[in-house]
Amino acid sequence: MSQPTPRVDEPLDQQPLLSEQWIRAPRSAVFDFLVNPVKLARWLGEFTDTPEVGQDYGVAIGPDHVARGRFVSIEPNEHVVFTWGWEHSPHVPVGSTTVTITLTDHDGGTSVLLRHDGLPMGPEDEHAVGWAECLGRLVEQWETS
Amino acid sequence: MDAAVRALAEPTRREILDLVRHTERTVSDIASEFDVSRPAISQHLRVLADAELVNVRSEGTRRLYSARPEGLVELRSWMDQFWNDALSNLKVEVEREQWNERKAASKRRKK
Repeated sequence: MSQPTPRVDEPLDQQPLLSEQWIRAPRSAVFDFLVNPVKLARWLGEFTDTPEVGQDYGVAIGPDHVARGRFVSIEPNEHVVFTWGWEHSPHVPVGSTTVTITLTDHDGGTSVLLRHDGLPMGPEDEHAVGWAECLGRLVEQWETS
Repeated sequence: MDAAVRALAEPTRREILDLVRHTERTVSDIASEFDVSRPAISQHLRVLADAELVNVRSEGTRRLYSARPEGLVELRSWMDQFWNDALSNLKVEVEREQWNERKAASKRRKK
C-alpha cells in the first residue's frame, strides 16, 4: 500500500532566501540599525549583546522565542554577517544557518539585501518536518502574544 | 498567516504529518498511534488537507492519507515573509529617524 510521495526535484536547502528593501537614507544611517542594539530592537528584536565579530548573541523574537548565533563579519556601512538558529531546536540548531545583510548605494538611498543560507527545507531532507515544527512553535508563541 | 504554518501550530498534527511522510495510512491506522479519538484525528487530517500538507485518495472504501512535500516547501515562503516584514520594519524605522533629524535640523535653522 505504500506509494512514493511526490518529489520536488531541486534541493531547496541549497538555495538561499533573498529579501530586498530600498531605504531613503544613507548607508551609514542604515548600518547603525544593524549594529546598535537599541535600534536593532526597533525592527528585529531585543539583542542580548552588542554586535561585534566573534560575539555570540541571542535575539528575542516575540515573547518566548529566541534565535541565537554569532557575528561572523561586520564591515561598517558595507555588510553584517551572522549565524542564525532557533534555541532548543535540534533541526535548526544555533549557528546552523547564515544571514548576510549587504548595503549598497542605490537611487539616492540604500539598497538592503538580506540573504539567508542553509535553511533545511528540501522535502527529502530529514530536517524538513523539524523545521516545520520549529515554525509551528514560533507561530504558537506569536499568536499568544 | 500561511494556512500551512497554522496547521502545524498543533503538535498532534505535526506528529501525524511525520507518520504519513513516507507511507500512506488510513485514519484508523493513524488513530492507533495516538491516545485521542478517531474523530479527532479525522478533524486534524481535514485541517492538514485544507492546508495542502497532505494528499487524500480513495481505494475502495478506504481513504489513504500521505504527506504532500510541496506543502512543506511552501513553509519556506513563511520564513521569507518573516524577513520581508523585518526589512519593512527596518525601512520604516530608518526613514522615521531620518525625517525626525531633518525636522530637527530645519527647526535649528529657523531659530
